[in-house]
Amino acid sequence: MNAPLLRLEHISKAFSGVPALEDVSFEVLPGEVHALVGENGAGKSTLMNIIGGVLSADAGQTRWEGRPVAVESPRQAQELGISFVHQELALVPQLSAGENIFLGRHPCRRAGLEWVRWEEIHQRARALLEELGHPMDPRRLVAELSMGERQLVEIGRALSLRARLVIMDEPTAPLSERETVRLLEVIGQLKRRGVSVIYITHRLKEIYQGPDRVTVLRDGRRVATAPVAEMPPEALVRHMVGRPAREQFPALESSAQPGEALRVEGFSARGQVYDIGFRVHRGEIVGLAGLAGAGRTELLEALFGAAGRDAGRVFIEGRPVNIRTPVDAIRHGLALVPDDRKAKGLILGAPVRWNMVLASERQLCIRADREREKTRRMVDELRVRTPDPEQAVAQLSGGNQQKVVLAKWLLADASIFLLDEPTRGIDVGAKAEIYEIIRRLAARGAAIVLASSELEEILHLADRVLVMHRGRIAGELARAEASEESIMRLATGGSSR
Amino acid sequence: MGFRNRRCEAVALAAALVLAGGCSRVEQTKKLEIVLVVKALDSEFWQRLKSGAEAAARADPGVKFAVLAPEREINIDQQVAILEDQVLKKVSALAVAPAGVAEVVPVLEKAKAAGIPVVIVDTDVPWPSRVSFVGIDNRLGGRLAGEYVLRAIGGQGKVAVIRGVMGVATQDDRLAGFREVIAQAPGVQYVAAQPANSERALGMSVMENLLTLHRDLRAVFATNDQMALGAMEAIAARNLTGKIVLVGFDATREAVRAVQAGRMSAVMAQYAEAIGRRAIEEAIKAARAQPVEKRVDIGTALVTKENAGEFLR
Amino acid sequence: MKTADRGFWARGVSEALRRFGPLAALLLMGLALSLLSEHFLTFDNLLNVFRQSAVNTLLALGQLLVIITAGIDLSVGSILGLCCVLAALLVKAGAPPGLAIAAALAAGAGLGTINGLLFTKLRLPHPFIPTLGMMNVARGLALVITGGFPVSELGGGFRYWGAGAVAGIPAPVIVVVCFCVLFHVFLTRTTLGRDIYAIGGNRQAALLSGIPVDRRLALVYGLSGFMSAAGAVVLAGRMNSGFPLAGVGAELDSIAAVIIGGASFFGGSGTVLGTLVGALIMGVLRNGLNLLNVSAYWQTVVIGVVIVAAVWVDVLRQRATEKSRAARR
Repeated sequence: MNAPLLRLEHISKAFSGVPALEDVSFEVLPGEVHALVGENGAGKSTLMNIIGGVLSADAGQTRWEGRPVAVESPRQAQELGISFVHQELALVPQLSAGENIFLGRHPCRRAGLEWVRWEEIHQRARALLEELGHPMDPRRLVAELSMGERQLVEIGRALSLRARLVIMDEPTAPLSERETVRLLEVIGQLKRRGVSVIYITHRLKEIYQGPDRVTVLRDGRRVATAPVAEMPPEALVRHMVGRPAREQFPALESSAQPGEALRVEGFSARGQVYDIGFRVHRGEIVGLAGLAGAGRTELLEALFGAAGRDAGRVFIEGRPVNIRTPVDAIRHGLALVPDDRKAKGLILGAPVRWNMVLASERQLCIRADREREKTRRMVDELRVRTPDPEQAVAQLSGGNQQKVVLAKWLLADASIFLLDEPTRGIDVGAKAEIYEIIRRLAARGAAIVLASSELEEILHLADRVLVMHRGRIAGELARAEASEESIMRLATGGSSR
Repeated sequence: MGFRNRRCEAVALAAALVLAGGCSRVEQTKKLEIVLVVKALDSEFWQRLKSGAEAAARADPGVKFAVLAPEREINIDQQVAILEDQVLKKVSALAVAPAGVAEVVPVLEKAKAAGIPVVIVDTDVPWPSRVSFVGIDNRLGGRLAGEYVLRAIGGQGKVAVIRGVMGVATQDDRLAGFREVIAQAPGVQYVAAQPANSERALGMSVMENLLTLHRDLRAVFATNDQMALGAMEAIAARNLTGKIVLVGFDATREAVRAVQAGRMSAVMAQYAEAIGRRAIEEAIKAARAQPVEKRVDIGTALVTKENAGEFLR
Repeated sequence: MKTADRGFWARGVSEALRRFGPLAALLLMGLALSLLSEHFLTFDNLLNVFRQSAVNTLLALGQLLVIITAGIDLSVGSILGLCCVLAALLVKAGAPPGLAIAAALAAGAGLGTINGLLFTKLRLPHPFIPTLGMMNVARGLALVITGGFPVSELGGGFRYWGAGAVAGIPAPVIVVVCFCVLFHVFLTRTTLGRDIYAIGGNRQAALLSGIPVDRRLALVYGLSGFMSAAGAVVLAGRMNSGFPLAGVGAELDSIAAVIIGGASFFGGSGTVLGTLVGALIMGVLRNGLNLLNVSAYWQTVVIGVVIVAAVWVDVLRQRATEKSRAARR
């Protein structure tokens, strides 16, 4: 049994009092491909950032080849031999592949004068790429390379840095099927050279196509580590979602009515969402589940007219509509609560009152009295905690800010609500209040599409669940069939059985 | 809270004004305040005019003197603002080289209404209330330049002019005098008069364009030295020095040295110091209500390689 | 000091800086100048200052709207020049002054709207680009139309707005005051004005809240062009001529006035009063230095220093606001 190359012992990390990792111990053997899985928010990124020197742990010990080390900067990590291949590749598109591999470390003829030895760069780059099993002309500009080829360049760079451990974060997210196969081959090459790989992914299929062991994180803790052969998919999913949901938020009664409020057919947008079709009835809450990158936000924004629609038809109350801008959408009674309220939902420097009436007071003259009255009404109805509605909305807590966004749409008399991560970054108390508001909306006849990464939330509120995977609808689950496992299975590319 | 702050502001403002009013300076026995306002100070011509003016002011101990100008000759409204402020101060006399005609005359009228005598310097304007004009006969200067050019090219060939800001009398007169003379020569073809705002860089660009358009250009008359020096560089860049006759106007030191070196053919002399000196002398006389010469013509002369040495002293 | 106290004081300071900043600076300057020159604080001189600042203030009002949306309009000086020339030509051709003025205003608004449309329809990355292009096009057209010659002697009727007076108050001052009031009402009492602040505060959020962002931006740039034309009419009246090089450099002065007046370069804030004070600060500076016989070159240096100082004060203010917000949590 080899001694571990990297060993993390009892690592804990919290952000502003909120724990992200609790007592996590994790190890990687030399020449091992180790998969790391978990839901959004399970702590994978935090753990990797600690390994990579971007963050430092609050407690715990890191050991490299048995020796205790303190990795305090990315540079230190690099010197140890830890290399990252991020989702957003750190390449310079205007330079060639070879230059990128040796970025910042061009071999020079004479130190100080920086006469670059191009021939050497290209030779060594070519050799590296060949070793990875995929020869490529190192003089090609990165801008002209496909995503898969760019990843190859990043991996080549890691190799040139004499990496012993390469961490890949969702590497196949932007790749085609063929490129995914090639990447897995490359990883095999790395393994043959004795380089270890930590492979973070959401795609269960891939876990069974290469990695030796798999570790599951959930809610900041390590819940399982086992050789891949000893961990069948159902067990994996079960570890990812845990025991059946805590009964804190039990499923609610549906208030769906027969009338169809929204119907979408063959909808594609922005090259990221394909052939989406679904319908929502009045009073119904349809959950939209999926993992990061599945396309939920893109779908909702495109439906709202905020992003390009490539194809498809949208019907409201049975009538076909053409929504090209948010102004159209609002006119038809749509509302969008965006996933990032600070960047997309609120004018932070403006008063609460402004933000609330922005979508509804559209006549020329500002009627301050009427607006104040409307604002007061909303503050009462939604229980927004703010000392003064003329105060800048930036000073409210997250939960209250979200209520302001909701108030905006309530005042605009919206009838179809597209909610994108409505309780992200909000404490439990405020969450409960927002769930209550959503439920009341549905009870009053609004049609609601609720996109969320929190399965509990969807299971609590939704009458039906649509699961997206890679830009398409992977499946639809009725309330009775919906469970964390069944949703997760569809979200990771499995089938619904 | 907003209301209270607004009142605080008003109180603060009032207090400040009272304080300021009470602190105005004690009046001293006044020297004569003479101010020279020219079009710009960005060329040797204006600088020399200024030093001549300062010399005249220094010679008289009862005179306090200042020179002001906008940043560029085209900033006519800036000159008007400067003049307005000087009129307000009720200076004893003004000497002005107006950057424009219709724009500046109204404020000169205000000066007259305030009892400030105005001497016009270098660039004449058709304003009857000026107490004096000190400058040169620009038309004559243009004619002399024209005659030189005709001699130099033997009465045959293409000729162009680079001129200053449009509508300014000095520039118009020089151009008119020049054209008068060359119109009499049938073998000479007058191709263009391009403006370059009396700026060196523009003069160079305009010359480059002229050279491109008219390959066989034989002579160029630039109505002031800044533009001529720019044109000179353009000619040199194409290795045409000496092959094209280039005449400037002002006789600044740099231009005269260029004539000596053979890089320019000739310049018309303006005796800028003399203009400045005489202008201030007349202004001082006017401020003291002494008789003033209505028109002072400093005179102009042609500077060529032969007599260039004299003008460098 | 306890945390709560520090928050209170920090908020007080930031409020003071924000509210009084430019105005306090103006008063201080006025105070200093009145001590340095006996001529400064006279009625005639103050009128001079207002008169001399009028054109810049008009341009700055339009520029204010643009800067609130986090944009910039580099063409205001050139549009001013072109409209100046157009109005003058029409008057010389015999058109009644009212018609000439109306035509100039329409031309300015039209050119400004073109700026806005170029920016939004062509999805250019920053309004710097179309307005830079327009700056050159408009200036070139002005020179082409006039051949470089000024168009002078425009007659009393037309000159009224630049050179006339009502009960001793110069007409340009009245024009400026009227527009200041109009713009103030526009920004604070209409939803259009609020939309403009919203677009500057967070363009994406404004879009997603149903504000027709493209339409509003076209309006904003159109208004900026309109104000350039208004400035042109006043300037032509004052100068008694439409000269094609009018307004060279005026765009930078208008931006300076807006920034000194406290608007944020990144959009979302700025007031009419602040802009007016900013323009007056520049006018007072130039006037005061003229009275003290300081050369025009030094005036330019001082204005540059004031701009940097104004932005620095704004940065301090923002930090003070953040500290007070953090202290409250």
